[in-house]
Amino acid sequence: MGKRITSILFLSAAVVAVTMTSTAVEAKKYGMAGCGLGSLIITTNDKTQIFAATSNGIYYNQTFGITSGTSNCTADGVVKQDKVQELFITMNYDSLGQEMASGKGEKLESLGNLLGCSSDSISRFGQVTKENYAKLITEDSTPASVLSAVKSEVKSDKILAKSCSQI
Amino acid sequence: MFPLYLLTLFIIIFTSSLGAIEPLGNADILELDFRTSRIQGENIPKSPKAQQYLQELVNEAKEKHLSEDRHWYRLMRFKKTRWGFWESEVDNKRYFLSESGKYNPEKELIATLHSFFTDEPILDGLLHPQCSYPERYHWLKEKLNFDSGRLAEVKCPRFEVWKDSLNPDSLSVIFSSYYMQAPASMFGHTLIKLNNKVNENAELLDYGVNYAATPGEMNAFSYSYKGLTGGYPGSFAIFPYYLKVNEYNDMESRDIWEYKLKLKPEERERFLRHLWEMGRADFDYYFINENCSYHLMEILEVAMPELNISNKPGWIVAPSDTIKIYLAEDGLVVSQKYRPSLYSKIKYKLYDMTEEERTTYFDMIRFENAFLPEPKETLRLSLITDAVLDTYRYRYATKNEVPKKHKEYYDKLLVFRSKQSDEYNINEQIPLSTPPEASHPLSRVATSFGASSLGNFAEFQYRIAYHDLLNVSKGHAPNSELAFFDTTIRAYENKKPELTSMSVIKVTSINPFNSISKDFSYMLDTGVQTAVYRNNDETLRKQVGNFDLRMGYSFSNEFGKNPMSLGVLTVLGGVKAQNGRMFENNVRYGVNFSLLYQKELGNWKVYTGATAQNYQLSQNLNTYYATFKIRYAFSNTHELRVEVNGERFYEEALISYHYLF
Repeated sequence: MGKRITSILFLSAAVVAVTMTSTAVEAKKYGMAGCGLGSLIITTNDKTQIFAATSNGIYYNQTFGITSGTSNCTADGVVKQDKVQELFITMNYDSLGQEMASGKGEKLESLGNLLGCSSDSISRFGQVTKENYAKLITEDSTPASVLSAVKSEVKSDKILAKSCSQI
Repeated sequence: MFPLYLLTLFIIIFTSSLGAIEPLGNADILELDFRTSRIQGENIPKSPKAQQYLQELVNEAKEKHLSEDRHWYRLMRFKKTRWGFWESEVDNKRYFLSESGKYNPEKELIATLHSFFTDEPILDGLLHPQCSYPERYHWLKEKLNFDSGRLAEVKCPRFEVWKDSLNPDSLSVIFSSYYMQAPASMFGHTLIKLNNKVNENAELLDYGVNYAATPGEMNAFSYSYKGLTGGYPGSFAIFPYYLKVNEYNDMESRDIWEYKLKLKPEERERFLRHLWEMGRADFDYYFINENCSYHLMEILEVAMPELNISNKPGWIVAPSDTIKIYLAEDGLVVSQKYRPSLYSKIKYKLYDMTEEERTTYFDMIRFENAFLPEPKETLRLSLITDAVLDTYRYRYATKNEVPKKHKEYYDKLLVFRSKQSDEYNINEQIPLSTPPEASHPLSRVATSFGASSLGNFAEFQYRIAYHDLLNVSKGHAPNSELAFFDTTIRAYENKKPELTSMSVIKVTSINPFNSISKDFSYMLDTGVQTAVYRNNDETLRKQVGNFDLRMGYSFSNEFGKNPMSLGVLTVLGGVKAQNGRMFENNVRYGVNFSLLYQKELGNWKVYTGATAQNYQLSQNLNTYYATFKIRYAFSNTHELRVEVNGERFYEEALISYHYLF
């Protein structure tokens, strides 16, 4: 009997210790970023909104389920077309900002793609965001404001205005 | 008695038709869906003609033994239990149209046929069964040659829109490597990416299919326990792939490996139809076996009927092992891609820098001075700035609070970067870690012979999984350890065999501490050990319960010309407790302090260390442990080790042979 209690004690101690060291496991929910609340969340600089818990995929969110109905942002797990650009900027805000400043990168290319820029104009797109970086992102920018600033910059560029269809 | 659920249903229908109250919450709509499906599963069509046709189909299905078809079993996740009856792995009732659907393949198939004849109007937010179960419908239609004149085919706009927006040209299995700061994720993780042709040059915009547990409101305590015992429901979800890349690559700095699978058009259609159905299914989630990787294999088996893989792993389904299984299938994996983590990207840049550039970089990442480097011909300012920006993101990726001064510096640097025009090129495709398929097998047996101050001994070891400090580190996190049920049985000359040690869980996570990464290292061992003690001048051995937790820091020349060439030095401090009758008050506990060193070089590895243990707190004698081990690996599966161990009242030397399988 004593032995059994001991082993139970040690096993639960192990469980406690494992969970203690795995702080990352504390799941944070994705905000409904990009669908109204996004700007708010980003200005409070709460990056953990996209810090999903890890592990064997200990993470889930109704927002992106399949067939569990629709929400503000997604329909059956697919991002609604009119939210695609904004959600992309919201969820990649920091890395995208960095790529805009350097004028290249996979995320920046993806944004160009979402704006409908033809593949031969993508490098031009990077150049434009780099040259105008200080105008596009400022301290109180929100994903929505960044998106509209980028769009207006693209519109005022002769080449891009023609080759980007989703602005 | 009037059935309560019908009453609920009526109330829901009534209130929702008023339109005056709040729209249905998610939970309500799932419940309504479930109730409706059960009714549809028993549906008898109104017209006698349709009734007649339904009867014909049911009879034909029975004659053809369709419910015993392998595809039906797979669709429904039916597995034969130990007691010989069928049971579906799906654990929520909403997936079944028949009340006994979980245990009865035939009844579920008949209920499915019934439901396809539903001619009642479909409530808002719900779907006709033909649309909820497109793969069941498609398959049965093919097998039974549905006559669309006698069974009206329903249009499924929601499903069609969904399918068109995913529209994969091929699938990729994505493996995300280990996240050492969280033991539960040391297994790695797999998901599926749907490669849409439209996104050929912007793969981040693809969708990913993820199977994961739904912990709900999580409390760290119940998490491990429930994860091991199936206490959480797991389900499928789809995500934009960039969310997953953010999470793994950037937030947790895990390298990602992508394996593109060949996919025929009809397999693609089957995959999508079935994935849609899986939106209704919940499973009990088990870390060890019914995990992410297991369910991905099953879903791929539905899509590719000739594939037969889900029975291949043992009772532990390790994500890296499933990658080996995919690769072993002829022609299944057509290409492979590596996606470096943020930390790896910083390393690439560092390796490319000159001494001078490095010095500037290391000065800048202190952030405190917040200076902008002066332009100089010998400095590639864009390279340095990019590395600093990466480092900032790496450091604050998971932090809520960023010091204001650092944030301001970061913003200033971004503007500074946008004004630099020098170019640099770095090849990020030579992986900084090894792919999962290079890893050794999980289980291990070993046999040893040794001499000790208490006589000669022979020993047998067995470990279910996974990886220890002396195993070859290819495909694993370097210098780290994760073991379940590592057991040693030993027999001394002229004595009975004894259980020397058994670690229920043993985790060692060695993370380099440097100016970029401030992660800590830790070590946990819990289970049974053998304590050596002295009683009236006689040295005795006895098995005791053991709990050992240490934390600290590790150091290495990670960024040098030959990274890690000097080995890894680890300093740890912590607590250790053991219980046994021979101790004062039946227990000894106290603080300990260890210094460990390890170095791997080709097939060789050296591991050595010393630990001082203070038991005075518990009125027991203090002790120390010292160890020196060398391993030589003949291959991924055969190893030879020599070790010398000593402690206060005992010394031993042994040689052991290890076989991994």
